[in-house]
Amino acid sequence: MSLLERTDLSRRAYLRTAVAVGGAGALSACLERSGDDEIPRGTDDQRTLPGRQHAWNGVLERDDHGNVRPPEHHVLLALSLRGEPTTEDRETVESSLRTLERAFEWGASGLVFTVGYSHAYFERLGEPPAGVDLPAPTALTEREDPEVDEFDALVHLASDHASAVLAAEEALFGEVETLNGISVEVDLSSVFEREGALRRTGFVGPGLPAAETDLPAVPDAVPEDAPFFMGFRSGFRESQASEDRVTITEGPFAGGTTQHVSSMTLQLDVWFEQDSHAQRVAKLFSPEHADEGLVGEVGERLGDSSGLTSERIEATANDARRRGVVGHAQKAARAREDGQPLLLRRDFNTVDGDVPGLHFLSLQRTVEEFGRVREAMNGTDLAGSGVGTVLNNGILQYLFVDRRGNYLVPPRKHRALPPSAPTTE
Amino acid sequence: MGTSPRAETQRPAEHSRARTAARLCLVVLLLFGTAFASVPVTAGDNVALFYVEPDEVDADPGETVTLEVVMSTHGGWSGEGVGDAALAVETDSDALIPVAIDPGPFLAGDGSDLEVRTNVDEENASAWISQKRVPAGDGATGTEPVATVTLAVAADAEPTSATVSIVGSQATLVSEIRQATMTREATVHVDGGEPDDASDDGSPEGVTLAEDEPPTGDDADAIPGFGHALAVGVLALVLTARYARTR
Amino acid sequence: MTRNDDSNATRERKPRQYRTNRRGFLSRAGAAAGLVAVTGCLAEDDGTDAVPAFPRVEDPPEAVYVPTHREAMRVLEPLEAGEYTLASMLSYPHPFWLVDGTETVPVEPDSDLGVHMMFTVWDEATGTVIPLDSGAEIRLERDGEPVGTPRLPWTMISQEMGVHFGDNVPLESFGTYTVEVSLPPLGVERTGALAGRFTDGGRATFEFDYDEAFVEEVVGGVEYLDEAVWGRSGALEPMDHAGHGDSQHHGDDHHHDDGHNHHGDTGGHAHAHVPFSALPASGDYPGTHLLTADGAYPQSGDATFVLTVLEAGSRFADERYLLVSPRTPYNRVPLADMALDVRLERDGTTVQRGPLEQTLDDEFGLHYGRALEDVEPGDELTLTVETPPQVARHQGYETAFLRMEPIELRVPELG
Ligand code: HEM
Repeated sequence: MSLLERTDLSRRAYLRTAVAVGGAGALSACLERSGDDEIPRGTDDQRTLPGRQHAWNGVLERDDHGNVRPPEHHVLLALSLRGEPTTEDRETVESSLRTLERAFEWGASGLVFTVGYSHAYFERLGEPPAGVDLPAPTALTEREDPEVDEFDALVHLASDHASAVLAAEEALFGEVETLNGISVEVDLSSVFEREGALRRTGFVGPGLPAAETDLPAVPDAVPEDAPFFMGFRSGFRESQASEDRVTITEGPFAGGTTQHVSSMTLQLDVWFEQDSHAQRVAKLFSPEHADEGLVGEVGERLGDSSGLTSERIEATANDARRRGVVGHAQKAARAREDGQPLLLRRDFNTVDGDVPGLHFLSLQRTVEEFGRVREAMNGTDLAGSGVGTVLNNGILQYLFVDRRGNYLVPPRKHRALPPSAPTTE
Repeated sequence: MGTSPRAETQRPAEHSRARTAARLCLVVLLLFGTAFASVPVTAGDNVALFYVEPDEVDADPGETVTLEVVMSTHGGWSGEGVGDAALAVETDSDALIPVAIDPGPFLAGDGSDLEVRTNVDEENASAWISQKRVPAGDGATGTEPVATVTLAVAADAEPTSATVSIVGSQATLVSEIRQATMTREATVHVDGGEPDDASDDGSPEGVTLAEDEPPTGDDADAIPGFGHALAVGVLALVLTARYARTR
Repeated sequence: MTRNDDSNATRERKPRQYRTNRRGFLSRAGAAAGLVAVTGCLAEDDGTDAVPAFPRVEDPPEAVYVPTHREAMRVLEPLEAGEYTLASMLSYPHPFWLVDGTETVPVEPDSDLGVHMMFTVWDEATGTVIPLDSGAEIRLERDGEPVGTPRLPWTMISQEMGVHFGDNVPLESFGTYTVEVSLPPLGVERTGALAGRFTDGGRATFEFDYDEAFVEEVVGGVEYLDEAVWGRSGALEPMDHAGHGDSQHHGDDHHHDDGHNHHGDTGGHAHAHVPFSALPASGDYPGTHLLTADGAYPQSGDATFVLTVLEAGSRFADERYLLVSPRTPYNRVPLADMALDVRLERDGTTVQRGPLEQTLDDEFGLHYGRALEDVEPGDELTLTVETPPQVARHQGYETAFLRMEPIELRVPELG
């Protein structure tokens, strides 16, 4: 890494800390430091914005291989309704969200966001969402006993500009008068209460995880260029579901999607200081990836795919028996349908609580599909046939799920406090 | 970590316990000297070795013999060196009496003092020395004499072969964490005395060697020794049930 | 007194705090600014000091061998965790080996501060030690604050301790630590008195003092063996945790049926009876034993294999049942998490072939088994080790049970 890159990295690490802290002080610290006073403005014209809230891929950058590059900074806001939603509340929410769209261009250089509604929200309405199975979150492995998200709504804000996510958050709650030069007239504070303790933040990008090694639970061995804490690239085009694949096709919520958010703590000491690089590759991708050196230090040898041929996916059980280890990606890919992944993963690293973790945010057409993929990843069927329940069974040994939530992310037109069965006009 | 009053922590109890410890370390053939450019993953032990040099020496009645106790350590896992060390030597013959024990250069460092405490117990043919480097700095690593022991051979000694053993040894890293220790003894041939060949080449207590096993047959996998009450001292097992507590 | 929770109790766990504190931010922001300055001047070790390598056995045999020393540890009182009973044992951080296929990966502690934390987990009712990865999890706290991130210790084997779960756990300073151990339901096939049990997990909490006295005990108690036996084929005898003599040897009365509660308030005396995970002796297995041509139990990778064909209608199968019990030599420690495949041939044609299932039985312990539909005297049986035991190793076991050749045997007259 050159000195210039390092200077840039320290600036980015500083900004990610500002996002984690949040609030007006962090915002101003961030504006001073970021040097990105020119964030492109958005639009008034709703027709120019996609009908799907989760339509981000069209505006996000791609690398040379066509892999989508996720925005660098993320915030998840947990919101609880102050009372039963009224028509007026709906208008308030819609105008507040439109303020964000007017202030920032839709994209990573501006802002992208979604608003999702929980099982608890629809319980409050007395009816489940029409045509969508939205169960209350539950434990998905034998080992875990997660807290579950029981608040009403979750806002996911993402941008390459720390100041954009921070300012958007402030604007949503009326803490600023203008947002990127646009005056903020309406905000959510009359409708929603912020669950401050459940505010989650995070970041993705090469170098950012390694900038966190001053935390005791982040070992120095995190590779300098890794975009994720566990030291490898992920989210290759061929391993991600398309936005179409995760979009609800029927009923009043057609054009929406479901969102699962699990927050987990990562055990990085053991991963980096006990396992070898070859073991990490075998446990994350597949033993063949390790034996043939297909991945490289942090995944730089991979192009638009994680190298999971159908043979490697089918070899999972065999690898357990013959090699004594199976890869996470290989296992999870067993849940593909017609060769297509079911999940569109938009996960990001976190150091909330000063421990390394991952907010695993995933979009899929149905929540049940998420459960199916997670089951494939659990690899219970492989335990005892060369791999353990956890040990050598992908990366299970390093993940500790703390929290889970399920949401319906409605299409844009129903994003403001939707009734259980919105009428489409 | 609390900075404990290390300088005052000389423990006579330590030595009396060590004195009764089985003398298991006879010939330690460690190959030193080669410089390891960087320490690769060795999965070896982190241990401080104390040995007497020379390991064999001839002496006549009435003479004084000086032996060196060499200490060799790599330091701790995170590279820290030893800040204080203590050792006790003992002889197994009335023919050989310790008369002095003095510090060697191991712990002496630039710009630091050495706090030394010693004791010579002629009656019990033993001596101990405790040394602490102040300030400890990064501590000491390497292989160098840590003490010199002077032994007097009794004027009326019969020909015999006496063993000088290190019966207590302690090395504490600058992190205040103790290092495990390993020792190796020496023999003084008084007036041409030879060791009485009490060779025991069976397995040490608590160890099963393949050659002592019955041939593989129906009883092939009976667990040897297991089921007998084993000497607690040998197992060095500390059973302290009271450590499980109510929270 | 100890606190035991069972899995049904509602968990009270401190929720993750999502808000980073502002004070931390300010100091860390400063640190970030200083980053450029600091990284430039990290010096490399010059690597020239002639310090000896850590003492270790040079070129150990590819077999079980006598290690350099005997470990010392502090054994805490057993605790109940749901249906499980567990005892933890604490020693100082030390090297061990992970297994990656047929290779080992050495693990060394990166600091002397900390403990090597181990657990033996067993079923008190049958005395069966849980010998395989079951996903045990530990969380440490000090003064109510989490210490590090949670861990899933490795399944390990050691000559003195048999099968246990263990890991080096770094600690930053002396103090009193609280450990919460969570054990999930057992995933393995269970038979005999274990069938239908351990379907729920369990949890237990204990405390330990990490202090000078502890280090004194466990480091001071380490005992180096005569170098003449280092690396020789052989093993340390199992540690007898309570001086009770034989432990998990079936048929012995090692239960405490006298109503004596030894998980409770036994008042600070050494009363821990921690079973050693020894399998029954080969002679204690029923059925027709399959031996080599010279009448010995077959061996592979220095493991001894007890292979026996049980009669039809046994507890395990309607048909005849092949029970395979691989164990360490000397101490009969079960070898878990391997993949075994069996092939039966008659007159040059294969009559049956397939994987064996890892099974935990109260009487025969951990074994691998499969029903045999069609087996006759004179058949050639080939047992292939597709994957050697994927359990981590303490010194003296890390070169054995890795490269394991197939075992070929002829089926004798069947009883
Ligand atoms: C720290 C935690 C995790 C890490 C480091 C991680 C890492 C990876 C990596 C490196 C890949 C292969 C490369 C790629 O994404 O294209 C992958 C694939 C995948 N992961 Fe994860 N993952 C984590 C957690 C999860 C979780 C919790 C799930 C939930 C089910 C999951 C589901 C998947 C799926 C579905 C795939 C794609 C499989 C396919 O190609 O069809 N991952 N992950």
